[in-house]
Amino acid sequence: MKSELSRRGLVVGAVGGVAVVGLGVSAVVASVRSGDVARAILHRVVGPFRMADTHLDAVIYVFERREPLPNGWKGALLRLAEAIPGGVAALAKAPGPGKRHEEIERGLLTTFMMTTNYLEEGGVPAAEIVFTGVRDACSSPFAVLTPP
Amino acid sequence: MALETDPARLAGEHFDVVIVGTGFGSAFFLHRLLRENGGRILVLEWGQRHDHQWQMENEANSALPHQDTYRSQNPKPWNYTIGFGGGTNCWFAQTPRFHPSDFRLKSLYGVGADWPISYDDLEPYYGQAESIMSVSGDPDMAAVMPRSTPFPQPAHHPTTPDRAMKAARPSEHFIMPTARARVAANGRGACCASLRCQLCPADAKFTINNGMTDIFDDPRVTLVLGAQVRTLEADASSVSSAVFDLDGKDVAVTGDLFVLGANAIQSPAILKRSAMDGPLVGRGLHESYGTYVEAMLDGMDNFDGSTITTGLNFGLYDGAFRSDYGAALVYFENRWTHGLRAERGRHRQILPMMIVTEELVNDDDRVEIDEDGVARVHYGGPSSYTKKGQSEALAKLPKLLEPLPVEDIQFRRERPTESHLQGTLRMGADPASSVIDADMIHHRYRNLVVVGSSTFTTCSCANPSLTVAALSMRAADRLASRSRA
Repeated sequence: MKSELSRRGLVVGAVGGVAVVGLGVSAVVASVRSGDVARAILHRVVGPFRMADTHLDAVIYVFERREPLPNGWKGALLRLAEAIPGGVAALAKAPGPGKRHEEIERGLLTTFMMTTNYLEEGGVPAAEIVFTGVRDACSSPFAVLTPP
Repeated sequence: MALETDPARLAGEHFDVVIVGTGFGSAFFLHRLLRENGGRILVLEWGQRHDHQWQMENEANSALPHQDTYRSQNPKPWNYTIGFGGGTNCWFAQTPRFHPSDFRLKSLYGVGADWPISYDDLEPYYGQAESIMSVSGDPDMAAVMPRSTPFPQPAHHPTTPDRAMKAARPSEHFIMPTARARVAANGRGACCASLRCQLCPADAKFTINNGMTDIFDDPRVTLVLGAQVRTLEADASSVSSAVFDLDGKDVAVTGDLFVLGANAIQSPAILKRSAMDGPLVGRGLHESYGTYVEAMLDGMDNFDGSTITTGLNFGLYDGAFRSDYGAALVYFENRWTHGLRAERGRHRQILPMMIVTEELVNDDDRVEIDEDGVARVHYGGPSSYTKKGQSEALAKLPKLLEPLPVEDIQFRRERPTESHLQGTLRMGADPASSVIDADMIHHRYRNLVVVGSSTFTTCSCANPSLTVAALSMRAADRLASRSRA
């Protein structure tokens, strides 16, 4: 049977649909917190690790003291890029957001490595990673300081 | 330390020597001066003394923000410390000597100017300054910068990329010379790669505070903190007195010899406030021009060196091209300036670098004073000579880095400043093109010695502080020889 829709009905339906989708997207966007983005990025670039939320929140807090993570629409975009296959690669090709995304992922990674026991645990996925704080002195974990 | 704080006790006093400033230029001059009789010496410092603990607790080198001490129509920052020890507080303690060609730019390449002294003239004083600062360095550098004395401290531990570069290019790539101690010495701890040199938590870099306070303890020396020199008073050929503000009071002292070592912005401002102006006073403010570049490495980890910057590469430094564009120094970094690499398992496979190019001196870039007598900087931006030096260096970088497994080289960004203000009271043989002579004495005011990076004739790529120290020691030595004669 051929369905017949009036022009008015089409318009009403379209507007309603957009409104529903819009409300849904808005709800999703509003629910994306900067911490979610950080977690997604860290799990991708570091690999699997075990860490209590409170400790990971401390890492994110240290990072955000210097550079707030995006939230709202920008945060949702980053979260989406992390969630879908090929999303990060696609984002990297966009000059502005791609550069910003790279700065965030490198900054987060660095903060994670410098403020946790991850390197001491040797990257073993089963190890419990904890926040150890910001080290002011002798802060490079990679430096070779053997006397000459 | 003989501190004087009472304006009434200073007013009208006469001193054999009056020194303005306590940074590299003034302190190293004083150090050498005290080997002679020296007489009664007054040292005037605008800022206060902030020891290491104060600086760490306050996350600052001085309570007096330097950006409040000058004005500029250009957003480019000019960094310095107003405080006891001057630039020794905020410096990163990189101590390359200038290249011998730097002193002969005009003769060799037809640009810029020749210094009135040569590398050989300065060489013994480089050694003395390195000894005082207990500089760590790579003996192989003598191939480029000949030396009569060994480095006081052994070289820092190089990174893996440094070792590969040095093995492949032994006459171009060296371990960074630095006054960040390799081994604990003279009360300073060894550098432990804290990677924040402006406020070193280990107090491992040389500063006046940790390595030279003894000269200010000398009974011949009176130090006045919080003394902003307003003017010098002079007749046609000599300076007679200095007028400074202390606790809101103008104080005048007389002297036989005056040593001006504020910095390349404040020293010319003092002369201009004093009506001791001349066509070149304040002209030629400059510094080298830097950028950040990063190489992605394939399978080679970085950051296993023992200090913040471990490698210095001279592969793009000298040659006939300097007629056309600037020399470049490439600094190999042992810090993750742009963060660790994000690819899983390859976090250390990056090589951050700084490329620093020489600049030609432009008299239009200058220091004036405004209606309040405050230094005002006029700066037009980096020249095409230095910018071309950067673009050529970037183009040549793949070849220079051939010994390394480089996947990709990425330009990161310009550096806003090298924090090396220079050139506003230049040294030269001809009074028509310079302010001071080869002995750093003012061409006109023959009892006025100028020290510091304001005296630089041209702009080397290399960091200036060691050269400032060596020039000051030479100037004091020349003065002593002259007095003895």
